[in-house]
Amino acid sequence: MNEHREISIHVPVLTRVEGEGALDLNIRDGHITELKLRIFEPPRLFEKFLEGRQPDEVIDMVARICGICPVAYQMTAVHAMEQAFEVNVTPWIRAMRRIFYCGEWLQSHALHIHLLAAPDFLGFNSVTEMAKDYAAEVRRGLRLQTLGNDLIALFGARSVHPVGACVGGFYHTPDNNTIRDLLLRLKQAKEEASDLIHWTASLTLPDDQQDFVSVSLRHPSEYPMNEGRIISSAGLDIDTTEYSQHFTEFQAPHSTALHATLHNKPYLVGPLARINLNFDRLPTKLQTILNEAGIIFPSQNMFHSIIARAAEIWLAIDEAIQLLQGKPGIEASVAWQAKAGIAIAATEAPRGLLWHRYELDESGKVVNARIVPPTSQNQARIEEDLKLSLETFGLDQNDDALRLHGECVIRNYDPCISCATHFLRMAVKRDSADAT
Amino acid sequence: MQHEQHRLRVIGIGSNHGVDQLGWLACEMLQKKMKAYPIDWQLCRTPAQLPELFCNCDTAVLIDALISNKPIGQVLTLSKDDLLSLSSPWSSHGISVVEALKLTEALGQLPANYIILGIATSISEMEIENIVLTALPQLEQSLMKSISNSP
Repeated sequence: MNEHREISIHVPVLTRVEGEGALDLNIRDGHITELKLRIFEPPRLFEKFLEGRQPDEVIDMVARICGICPVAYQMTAVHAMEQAFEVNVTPWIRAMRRIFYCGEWLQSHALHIHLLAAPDFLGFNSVTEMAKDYAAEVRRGLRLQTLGNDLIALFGARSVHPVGACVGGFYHTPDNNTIRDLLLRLKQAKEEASDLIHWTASLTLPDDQQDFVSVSLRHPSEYPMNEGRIISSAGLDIDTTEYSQHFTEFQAPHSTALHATLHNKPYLVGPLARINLNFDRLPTKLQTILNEAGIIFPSQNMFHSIIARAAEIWLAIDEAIQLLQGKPGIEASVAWQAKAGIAIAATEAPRGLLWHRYELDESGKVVNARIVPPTSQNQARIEEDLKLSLETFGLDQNDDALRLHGECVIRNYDPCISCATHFLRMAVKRDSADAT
Repeated sequence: MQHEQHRLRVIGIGSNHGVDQLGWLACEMLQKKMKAYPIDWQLCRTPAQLPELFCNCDTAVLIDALISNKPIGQVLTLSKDDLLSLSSPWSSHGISVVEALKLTEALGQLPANYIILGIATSISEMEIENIVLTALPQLEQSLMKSISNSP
């Protein structure tokens, strides 16, 4: 006689993740038979909205795709348009765009490390609980987040829906008094950033080595942000215009977000992938701090993502200081002329590679648009990681422990599942057919 | 910005999507309407920003969308206890508003006075601007009261 056992668990809310999603997990005889991460993203709708829009309308509209990383969307669209219109911006504009992007990395990473991820590794259910024992660390996270938002506002006029960027540069040069104030705060934050790296490296992180392919931009001399070729740890080295020849987006029946694969396999984008592929592009001082902290990159432990984020916070602060100390700009933008063509660019959003493609008519209006955000690209990798990680963790663990570990794995990617509500419902189904 | 001392700060919280935009839109409309008043207006993407936004002000007013069975556009004044008593999280932005308030309290950063104004809506409403226009008189009235009660 066969005993048939089935257990279902419903987790009504997953906090500390941006967006709405659901995880379906079926376990049979101690093996995962089905694992589906269902998430819902809106960028597909935006692509249609962009049709018929002028280039500068596009820049303001794409900022509204994501409230957490509007700069990434704006910068990718700007670079795509400028590539199509053959616009060469001044070194000052290029430098200021890098600072703009530093602000976004800083605020996004500070939020994720301190408020979303750290409670997992310190044994707290929430940041509120954590704040009772780690008030100074939480305050540090909030200060760094605000500093990042203020860097965005320096160029974007505001950190929510920034409106300062345009094709050819910015609508205005930043105010000198604000720059002075920000420089002072950035210099004060530099030591905190070093402490943060050591703090994240001291956390008890799971040792979960996995075989995955990292993908990111690579620039000839800089740590990648706004420019570069697309490379992978498996030897890919292509121009951003060749993206579609190697990466495939497809609709998985269980998700409204597209999945993406590289040569038919999942891949990782984001801070860990960036550092894995660009450690030699980090400043020597930062490499030394990371070596002192005892973390070796490239790393195949996904949980080292939190350390990678801390390192990029240090980098963002360091770069912003150096670039803001440079010669002030006189012209906020350069002139440009629209023309028909295909506009393609990729930049490094806080969560990883962001790729845009626009077909433009002779007046620069969008005929069609395609946007591939990082969370879509990571979705197949998250599912692969969940399967491997839960099996390593032990499927015989109780359901609560499995759920918590699964949530921790998902949060580790900092998925930006931008949507109106933010719930993840997880159903675990255990199906045992053991003979008795 | 690193927030300067203000007597009254009004914070619109939300996201880019659906009715979640109500907090931002209400804040933007009120700012245009109440230019003459000494109010510091702020938009907030995630409640994680609230502990910093609550610093350096005597009174903070938080405006957010409230999924409710109340008439669309009705403004409800809620206490932290009201929020805690709701059966499902009142707001969802990575960490919830309730959690952000608790965090602010744990860090000792709650202002002397704070008010939470929820604009009643349902999840599927499409006429976002009309909802805000309906709510605007009540919101303005609440802010005027806060101004007159300010120390």
